[in-house]
Amino acid sequence: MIPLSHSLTIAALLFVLGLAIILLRRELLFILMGLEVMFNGVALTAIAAGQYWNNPDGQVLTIFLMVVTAAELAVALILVWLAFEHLKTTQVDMLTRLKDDTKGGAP
Amino acid sequence: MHSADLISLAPFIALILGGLTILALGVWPKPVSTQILTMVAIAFLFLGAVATLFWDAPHEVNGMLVTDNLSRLFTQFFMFGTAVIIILSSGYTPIKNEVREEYLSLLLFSTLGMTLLIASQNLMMAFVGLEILTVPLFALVAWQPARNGAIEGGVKYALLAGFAAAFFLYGTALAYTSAGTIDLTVLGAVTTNAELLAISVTLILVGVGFKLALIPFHMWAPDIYQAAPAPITALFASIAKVAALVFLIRLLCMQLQHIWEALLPLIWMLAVASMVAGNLLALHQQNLKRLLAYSSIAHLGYIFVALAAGNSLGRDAAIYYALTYALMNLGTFAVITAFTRHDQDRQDLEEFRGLGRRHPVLGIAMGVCLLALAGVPPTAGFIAKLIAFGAAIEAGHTILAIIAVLNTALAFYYYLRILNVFYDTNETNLGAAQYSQGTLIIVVTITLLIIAFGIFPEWVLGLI
Repeated sequence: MIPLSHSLTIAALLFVLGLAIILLRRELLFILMGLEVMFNGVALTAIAAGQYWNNPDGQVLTIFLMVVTAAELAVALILVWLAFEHLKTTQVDMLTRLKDDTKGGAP
Repeated sequence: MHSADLISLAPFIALILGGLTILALGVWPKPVSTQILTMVAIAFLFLGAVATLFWDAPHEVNGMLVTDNLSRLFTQFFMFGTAVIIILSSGYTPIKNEVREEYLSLLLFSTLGMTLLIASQNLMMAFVGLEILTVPLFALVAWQPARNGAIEGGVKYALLAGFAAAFFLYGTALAYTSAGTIDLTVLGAVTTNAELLAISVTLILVGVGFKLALIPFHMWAPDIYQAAPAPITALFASIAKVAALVFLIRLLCMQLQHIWEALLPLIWMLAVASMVAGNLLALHQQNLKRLLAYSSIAHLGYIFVALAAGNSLGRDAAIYYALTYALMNLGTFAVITAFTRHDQDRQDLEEFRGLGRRHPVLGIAMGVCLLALAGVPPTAGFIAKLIAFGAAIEAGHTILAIIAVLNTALAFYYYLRILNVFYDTNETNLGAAQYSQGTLIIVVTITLLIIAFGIFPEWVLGLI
């Protein structure tokens, strides 16, 4: 049987990989993919721990995780599509309309 | 399932049924008027709030939800807050004809998420609650996509909420790895693998910290406050944040006391960073909604001062502060909603110039809310700060309390700057505000509540 530490290491690497994708890539779709990789790292952790403790909580957690994050990403994808439709961009750097305004003088 | 379980679940069932009923009314063959939809939504919220009175507290449902006095108080408060937001939305002109079945049912489902989150006894339940709370908000931020910046706000919030959810989940999975359970009461009793559990709670803290917009995780908050329609900003600034905060209080101060000690330096740093940076960023801000976003970051810092105290006084202080913080922000954003222009919110401080003189009731309400945020007696904001900082001193964190008091003094500058503009003798040329009777009643009620809770703090403290 594979020891727990091995699967936990792989899962942690997967999580960090997803984090790196989010921090390094600028396209909205890639960021959503990075999120998905992070969620998969979590799912692997939960499954491996479930095997180790020999109880079903880890698998239940994974099923809930998949359902809920799929719902979340569906809504996020609609927003990305709206951004493409209205703003003609899928780059996160182009979304700069909302920013601080400190130019005005003292009242 | 016992009948006691069913009674405990009644408020949640009321919210689910409410959301579904409103959706069903939307596809009814005969057109249903907006007014009836609004009334139905508020009726279900009222039903849910009444149902909490029959709770046999404290009661635990299948190790998933716990219905005690804390969840009763905040469930009722969230129902009240959502009703306020529905009334504000129906009088809000920029989305006048769009407060229909989708909008109202999303609001009710979001409230369901809040109530589940604060009552959760299990980390998986908490995650599901957090997501039910968050996902409807993506859509509500981007309501009317053609509005300036609406999509941008929605996309930013969706990405960062996903990011926060990933951290929360990883924390949950690691907690499960360390102890083989995600039930909070069992986790609280486990003493082996304490390091791994501390790491996992840190990750959960990061996930919740995104929701609370604490300082290293605050990037989204000002953008979302600016982009969302004013009633939705009110939701973000008040009850949505408080839900995450109450979960954190339950997690750190009531369930995982031994972990709290390991996390103390982290809580300390988050408190100081949020207070100082929040206030400094707010200082020269010209956009009122963004300014309030930074001010609420600073307020979260003050609440973390109370959490750092960790004793029962600190817990009560944090709960009281959370409640009054939500009330003050609801009041402030209710006034901003009332002052909206025909097609969009007033954003720049200049656009509010002189309005306090023209509309005395709203002006006084804004004055009370802002002075409460600043912490002037006899408002609730003063008592909240007093007991929060008092708890920190009692627990021996004198330096933290001193930093907090200095920050409170700094914050006066920008709160008074807003009031200065509001009561200027010159008036903005953008014209007067049009607001409904409902909005006015809400504003007056919240203002009176802020003063009443300030004079009689035991009304809240006695309920915990």
